[in-house]
Amino acid sequence: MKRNAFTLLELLLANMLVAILLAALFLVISSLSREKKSLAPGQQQDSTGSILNLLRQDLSNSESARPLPNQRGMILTGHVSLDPKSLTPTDRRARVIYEIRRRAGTLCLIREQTYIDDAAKPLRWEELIATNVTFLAISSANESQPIDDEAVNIDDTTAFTVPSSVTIHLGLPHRTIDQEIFLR
Amino acid sequence: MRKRRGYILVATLALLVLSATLLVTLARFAIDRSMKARQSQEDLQRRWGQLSCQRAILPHAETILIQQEKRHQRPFPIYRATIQLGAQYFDLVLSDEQAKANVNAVLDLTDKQRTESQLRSTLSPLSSHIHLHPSLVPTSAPTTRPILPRYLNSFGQVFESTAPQNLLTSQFAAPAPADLLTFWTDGQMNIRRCSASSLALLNSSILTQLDVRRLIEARNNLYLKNSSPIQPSANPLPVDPVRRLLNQAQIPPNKANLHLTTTSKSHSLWIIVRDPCRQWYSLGVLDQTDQDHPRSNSFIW
Repeated sequence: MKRNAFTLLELLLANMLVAILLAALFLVISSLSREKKSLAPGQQQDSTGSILNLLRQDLSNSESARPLPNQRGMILTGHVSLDPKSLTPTDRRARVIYEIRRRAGTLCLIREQTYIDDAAKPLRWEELIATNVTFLAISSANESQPIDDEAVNIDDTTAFTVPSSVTIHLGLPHRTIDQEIFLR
Repeated sequence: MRKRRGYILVATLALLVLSATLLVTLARFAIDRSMKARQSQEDLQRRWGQLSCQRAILPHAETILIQQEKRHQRPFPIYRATIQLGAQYFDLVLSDEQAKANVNAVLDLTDKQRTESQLRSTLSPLSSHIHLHPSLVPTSAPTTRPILPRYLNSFGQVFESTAPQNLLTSQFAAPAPADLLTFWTDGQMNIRRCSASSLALLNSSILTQLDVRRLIEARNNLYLKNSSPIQPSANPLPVDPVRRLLNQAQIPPNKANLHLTTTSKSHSLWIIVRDPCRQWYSLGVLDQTDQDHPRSNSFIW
C-alpha cells in the first residue's frame, strides 16, 4: 500500500532534530549578543593596545619624562624618534610630546616629534594617536630622579629620569587604564 | 492521491543552513579572539624574556667575559649565545663596550668632518649612511671631574636610516659597527680586549699600523700560558700595566698619550628575538665608568 503521510517515527525524529537545532540557535544567538556587547570595548581594547605599545616603545627609548599639567600628557626626551613615513625607530635624539588637544571639537591624543640633535633640521611632525582620550599621565613608584634643568622644567611639573618601570594612566570614554609597564 | 507537503524537511534544511551560517560566524569570532590572545601571549613572553635576559646577564657581563677568556686563553670582547625561552629563540650578544672605539672620543680629538671621514673609511659598506648628528649640548651628568663630553649617544646619531641588523653584521670584510664603535664609555679603551681596527680608529693620529700590530701582539701574549718571558732590558719595567704593555710593544714614549686602560666597567647586551614573522632587536647598556653616575640605557627597535 502506498503511504500518503509521514510515519510517527519520522515526525518524532524531525521534531527532535528541530529541538536540537533550536537549542543550538538559541546558544548561537546568545553568544552573538555577548560578542556584540563586547565588540565595541574590544575595538577600544585594540586601539588601547596599540597606544600602550607605542608608549612602551617611546618610554623605553627615552631618558627623561616630564608630565604635562592637568594630566594633559607628557614630554619625553631621548632616542624616541620614529621615521615619519615608516613609523619605525630611527634611534636619533628627539623630543616627543604626547598631548591631548582639541581638534574639531574632539579630544585627540597627539604625538609631536622634533629632532633635537640637528638644530638646522628639527623636522617637526605630529600624528593623531587616538580620539576621545580624556587624560594621559605617567607616574613612577620609585627609582626616578628629578632633573634639575630649567630648560626642561617649565610650567609647574618636574622632569624625571625614566626608571625601570612606570605606571601609565589613560582615560578613555568608558573606562580608565592604570597599567604598570616594565621598561628595562 | 493527495500531494505530500514536506514542511518539516524544508524547515529542517533551512534551520540547518541558518545554524551552519551562525556557527561559522561564531567560529570566526572565536578564532579571531584566540589569535589575538596568542599574539598577546607571545608579545608578553618576548618582552618578559628580554627584560629577564637583560637583568640576569648585564650586571655579570665582566665575569662572563673573564670566564670565557680563561677557558679559551684569548681576548673575548664579544660573547654570543642563543637561548630558548618557551617557543622563542633569543640571540644574545654580550659585549665589552670598552673594547670598542668611542666615537665621542674620536670627535673630541678631531672634528665632525674628520670623524665622519674616518668612520666612512673604516666602515666602507655603510659609508653612505654615515652622517653625524651630534647633540648641541653634551648629555653627560654634571660633575666636577674632567669627563668626555657625550655629543653622540646612539647609533642613530651616526648611521642614518640603518636597520639594526646592519649594525650587527660585518659586510665585505669590514667590521660590524656594533663590534667596533661605542658611545657610552668614558673614552678609555681596554687594551686587553680591543681589536686592531678599534685601536687604530681611536688612536689614528698617534699610532701607526706597525704600532697597532705590535701592541696587539704584545697584548695577545698576555693570554698565552707558555708565552716567552719578557726580554730583560736596561730600564726596569713600569708598574702601570698599560705602560708595561707599551714598553713591551716598543711604542716610543712620545706616543704614550693614548686612551688605554686594562679594566672594563661598561658592557652592552644585544637581544634579538626571532619568530617566524620577524626579528625584534633591543640593546641594553650598563655604563659604570662614571662611579658617581652609573647609567643604564636601553634601545628597542
